[in-house]
Amino acid sequence: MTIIQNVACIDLICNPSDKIIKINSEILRGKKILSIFVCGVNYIGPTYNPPRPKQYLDHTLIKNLGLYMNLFDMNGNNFIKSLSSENFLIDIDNPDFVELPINRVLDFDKSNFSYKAAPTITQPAKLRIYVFYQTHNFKKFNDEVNGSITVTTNQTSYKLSDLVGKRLDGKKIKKIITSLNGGGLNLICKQNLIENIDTLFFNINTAKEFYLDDIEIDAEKSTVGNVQHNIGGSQTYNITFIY
Amino acid sequence: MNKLVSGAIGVELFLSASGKVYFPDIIDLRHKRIKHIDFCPVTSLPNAPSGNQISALMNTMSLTIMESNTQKELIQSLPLANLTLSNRLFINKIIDFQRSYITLTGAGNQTGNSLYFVFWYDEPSVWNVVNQNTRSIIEPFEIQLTSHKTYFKEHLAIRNKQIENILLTFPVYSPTGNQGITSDFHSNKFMTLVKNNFEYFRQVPIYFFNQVNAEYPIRLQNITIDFEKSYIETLGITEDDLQSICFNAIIDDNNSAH
Repeated sequence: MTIIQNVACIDLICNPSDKIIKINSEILRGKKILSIFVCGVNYIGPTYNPPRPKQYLDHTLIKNLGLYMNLFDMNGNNFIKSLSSENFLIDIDNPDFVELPINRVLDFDKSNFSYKAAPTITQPAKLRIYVFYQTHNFKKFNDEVNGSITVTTNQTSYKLSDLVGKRLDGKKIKKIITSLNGGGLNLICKQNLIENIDTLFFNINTAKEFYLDDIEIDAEKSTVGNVQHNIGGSQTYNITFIY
Repeated sequence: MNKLVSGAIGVELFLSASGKVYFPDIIDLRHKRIKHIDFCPVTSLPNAPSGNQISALMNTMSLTIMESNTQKELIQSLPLANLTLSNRLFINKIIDFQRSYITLTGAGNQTGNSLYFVFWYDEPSVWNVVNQNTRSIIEPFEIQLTSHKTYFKEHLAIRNKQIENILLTFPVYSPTGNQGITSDFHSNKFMTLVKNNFEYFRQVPIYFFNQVNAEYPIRLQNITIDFEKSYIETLGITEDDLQSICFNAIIDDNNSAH
């Protein structure tokens, strides 16, 4: 079980000629990093002939890269060396991972991803990562349910308040459950920022499920986007906010 | 939830005609507290170390475990199909193996087939104190298979380090650039870990250490390993097996200077 307080969604540039991908993020400097996930991004869109290079690395491409994570803390300790990305690579088709708490402030000048394989990408591509981080003390965890708000829609991009109105005001959200497979929740909260988190994190129904740190969502400023419907159709989906 | 373990022994049960098949006397597990029991289905482990095929008829078999001290049947006729990685039983008892058995019901004559179990247990001679506030580091190590029994090389970075978990993955290339084994070639490999000439992890199928799909991680009780004496055995080795197997060790870092 992981409790989410803040999430940064970062697209790193993977150049074919390099074997190192640095983690550039000013927002994360000085913050205690809790977990890092690499997320395969499946291409949804027109099919070209000849095929065009993928803008994002999907699950298969990431696996074929032989991607490893190397993390340094602010004391210069290389405390994670060559950790295979298979342990923290998830996407819609493969939502399995090993829970690996990091719990340190990272030196982002040194921390990086490295890969060994001969380039299977021919042009710069993006590697999407999610970084969970802490900005304040966690609330005392209590998974008791006090209520829930469920919305149903088939829209692909919208302001959250369009669906929930003011119903989330003052509610301390501890969990989100959704039937949506593929989409980003951008949650601006009173004390938290959950940036464009893929809804697959809220589709995991095992002991590794994700909870939220009693976040208070500002629905006016929060959005749902990049909903990936099946090509040629649309689907109705639910999002349930549990408080 | 997995409990702390400091040893694991793979046990092959040679099947016969229908009825009850008793476990052998396992000398190294006498008087040892068993924490978890895993059954290896044929889909994960096609053959036992003897070469015998693992029986595919687990749905006709059940497990009965006798506790040593009380001579009570701790587990009665538990279907083998219920012993899964995500449903790990916490036993925490000393088992009378010679009075524990598998019941074959309607399985026909299973002579020539085997079942394979892994008993995870407490081994006080190798366990260490576990700190409440875990601070860990992660180091890679690998083994390049060269024969049916390949010994690890020494890994200075994890020598005498207290290990909390070992993660197995199948990257295309290892961190050192060797071609890595694919997941298609992991079901015929068994790992034995040694400390002071004692094989306290013995013939454990390596697939247990690929924990991406595991509901709960393995939790080793800060064990240390003599890697040069530890090895991997491969059944029916082929050219495709002679690649690198890649691991990451999660190490207790509480006692190191920061």
